Order: sequence, then C-alpha cells, then structure tokens
Amino acid sequence: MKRRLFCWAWLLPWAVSAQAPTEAWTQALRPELGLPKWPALKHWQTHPRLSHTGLRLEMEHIADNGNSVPLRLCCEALPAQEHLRQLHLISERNPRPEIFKLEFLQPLNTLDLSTRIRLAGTQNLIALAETNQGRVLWVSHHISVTDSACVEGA
Amino acid sequence: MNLQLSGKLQAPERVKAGESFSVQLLLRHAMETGFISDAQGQRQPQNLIRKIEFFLDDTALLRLTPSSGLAANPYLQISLSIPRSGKLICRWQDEQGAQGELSQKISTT
Amino acid sequence: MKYANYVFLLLCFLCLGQTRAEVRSGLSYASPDIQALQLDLFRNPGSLWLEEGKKLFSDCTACHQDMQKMRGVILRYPKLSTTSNQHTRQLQTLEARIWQCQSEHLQQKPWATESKELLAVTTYIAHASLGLPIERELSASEKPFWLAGKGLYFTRLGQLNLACTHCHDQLAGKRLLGQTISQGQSNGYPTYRLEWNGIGSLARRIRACFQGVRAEPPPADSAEMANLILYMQTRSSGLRVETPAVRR
Repeated sequence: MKRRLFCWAWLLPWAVSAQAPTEAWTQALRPELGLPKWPALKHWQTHPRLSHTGLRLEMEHIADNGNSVPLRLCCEALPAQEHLRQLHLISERNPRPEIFKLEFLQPLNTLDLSTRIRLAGTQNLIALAETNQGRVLWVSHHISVTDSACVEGA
Repeated sequence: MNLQLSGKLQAPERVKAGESFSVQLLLRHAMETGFISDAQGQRQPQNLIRKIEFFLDDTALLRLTPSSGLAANPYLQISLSIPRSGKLICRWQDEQGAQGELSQKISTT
Repeated sequence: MKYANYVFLLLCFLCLGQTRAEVRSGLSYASPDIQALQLDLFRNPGSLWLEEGKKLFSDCTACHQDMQKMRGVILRYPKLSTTSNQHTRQLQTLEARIWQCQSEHLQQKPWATESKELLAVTTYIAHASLGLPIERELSASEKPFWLAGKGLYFTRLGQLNLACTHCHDQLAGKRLLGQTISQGQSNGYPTYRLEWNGIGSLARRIRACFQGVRAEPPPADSAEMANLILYMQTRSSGLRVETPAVRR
C-alpha cells in the first residue's frame, strides 16, 4: 500500500497546480465551458438558448495601446423571420464592463460593425447578440494589451 | 446648452432597396471617463457620449449606448439596409448636453 | 606600412559604423492597424482637426487666398523671422509665425501653445504639403541656429544621462518594453497619438522625451526648442510630409 502511494506521489505537484485558481485574465476562455461567471453576464448566465455559433469577433491578439483598439463584429445571415434585437459587448476588466449596447429598432438580419474601444489591460471580451426568436449568440476573444515605453509624464 | 459637436458621416448616395450598405461615422469627442487626473491632480469630470442614434427620416433604425469603453473620437462603421429613399440622420448627445446631427440623402433603386 | 594599412581599415570600419541607416518614417515602425488608420483619411481621427483648421483658416484668407500657395510652407519652418534688425533676428516656428499674424494683421489674442485652435490650424497648414519630400537648404544665417539644435540633439541630459541620438540613431529599430524605438523623425507632425487621444505638436512630443530621460524640458515656445526642431527637420531629409500622422 505504502509503495503504491509512493508511485503516485510524483503527480502531486501537478494535481495541486491543476486545482489552483488561475488568473483568469491571463487565459483565453474555453467556450465549451459556457459563459464565464462574470457579474456583468449575470443576466445571460442561465439563458436556455445560448449559442456559440453565428457571431464573429475579429480582433488582433495584441493591441499596441489600450486607448483605441479596433474590432469588427459580424453575424452570418440569420434564418428567415429571425433578426437581431440587441448587441452587447462586455469586457472582463474594464471599470465599466459593458462597452456598448446596440439596439436594432428595425429588423436587420445581418450585422457588420467596426469600431474602436478602450481596454484596461490584457483581458477577455464577450459579445452577445439577442435575436427576436429568443436565441442569444455569443463569442469571446482574448487580447493582450501592451504598454508603450515612452509615455508622457512617465 | 446646445453646443454643436463636429463629426463626419459617410454613406452611399444610391443603394438597392433592402440591400445592406456601409455607413461610417467619426465624431470629435474626448469621451472623458471621469477616471483621469490632469497634471495638477484635478479629476477631469466624466463626460461621455451616451447615445448615438440613426434615423431614416423619422424612423429610428439603430441606437448605440456606449460607456467609457468606447475610444475617444468615436468611430463606427455599420451595415444598414433601408426599404425606401430618404434622409439618413445621425444624432448624438453627451452628458453635458452637447449634441450634434449629421445627415445624408440616400435614394434607393 | 602594414601597420598603417590596418589603421586605415580600422578607420574605414569606424566611419561605416557611424553612418546612420536610411531614414525611416515612424509609420514604418507602426502596426498594420495604425498604418491603415493613418492612410484612410476618413477614418484618420486627425482629419477632425483638419476640418476645424479649415474653418479657422477662413480668417487668414484675406492674405492667403490660394491654399495651393500654402503647399510647401511647412517645409520652410522654423525659419528666421522677418524682423529688419539683424541682431534680433530669431528662429521662428510655424506657431510663432501664426502668433505674429494674429497680433499684427488680425488684431487677435494669440492662441495658447497646444490649444485646440493652434493645433487645428498648424495641422491644416502642414497637411497642405502632404506628400512633399523634406529638403532643407540652410542659409548662412540659419547655420548657427542649426548648430545649436544639433548640439542639443547630441547632449546627454537628465538623470538617465541620455542624448536624443542614443535612442533615435543608435538604438532605432530595437525594442524598448512593448514598442519599437523609432528614428524620431518629424515628418508627421502635428500627429494624432492614441496615447494622447488627440493631435499634438512636435514640441509636445519632444517635451515628453525630455521627461522620459528625467530632464527639464525646454518650453514649447523657447529658442532651444526651435533650434532642435530645425535640426530635426534636416535630419528628416528625404521623408515625405504625412500630417496628420497616426502613432500609438
């Protein structure tokens, strides 16, 4: 018995590290695990019709400057009778998590939006699109924000 | 207070009814977050554009509600489709009451 | 004889080491996103300052009706002021020239340095020369100012004890934290910097460099600043005007 325990002891450090809480913002999300438990996502957390398809968030993986990070959000053409109601962009680490809300006041069944946002450091972003059929499409992206060496007043 | 804010709107003059086309908007606005202090240590009061709306004549098409997460001098490019000719109007307003409006006539074929 | 040959070779090698690599605009160090942002004049946020500059410039059209004649103007600044007295002639930046116009011809209170009006108008005037190559011929009377500016460029300053040349000639192209050190060329000023969330002048950027090496920066409207800007202008020879450039 003692010998058997000893055999597996070398796995201990690995087991400990796997259990240790990782710093969330250093890692990209795993969509198969569903929406992360961010307070800003509470409203959608238990939504029955979450779907990780259809919505696309195009961004670089490294941003030069958190003051103005470009992004593009696209949605494939939705089935007939289905159109977008609202779009939300949620940040993991910004002081105000919801970057913007976009409401579609006339039926639109495709989406192609580009804009520039502020990011308070390296983090994950989640975009959610609600349709009139009660589905919620979501997509996530991990982005590293680098710092400039020569900043004013440094 | 009714300050005019400057900005630019770009949209095609002719589009096909119901087909999507691209609209670009660039606004001059500092989007003060309220978190930044100046060199004297004075907090800059928060002043954000909290509403950007697109209309076709008087029909509302889109409403964008940004927070401090939208970059200064906001830029937006978005695909729209319209069923008929009309005037595409974009209106926005910041928290200190300054507002602006840009418009362009679009005819459908 | 053999010894002399070695010395000659060594001298050649040292001279080669001293020659600067080809001039490169800051644009070539920027990320593809920033390059695209600069080149698309609708999206380039500096274009908002251009529109404002155009409005403000309408006050100047009594003398300067033809905007075509403003093409190339920025390339001649800083230049010696047109004061008649030879002994008080001083180097004048474009900003200082605008102040002179405002007080002498427009009876206006001159705009403050780095004010949004002054930035808008200087951006508008510089943009009129977009794409023109920088070629600066120095007159004999400009030479002392240029030498003073060059002297400042090569002087070690501040607690970090660095001169401009250490970063922008010897280490250009190398990494400093998350960014590439540029050659510090002046061809895109006034420039829109994402860090500033707006347009700023070359003097503002130079002052930030001084602060970076922990040195006391010269005031934006000082003679030292004008001399340094004149030297930097000749250093950018061969590059084209990019105003309003976009940088990180």
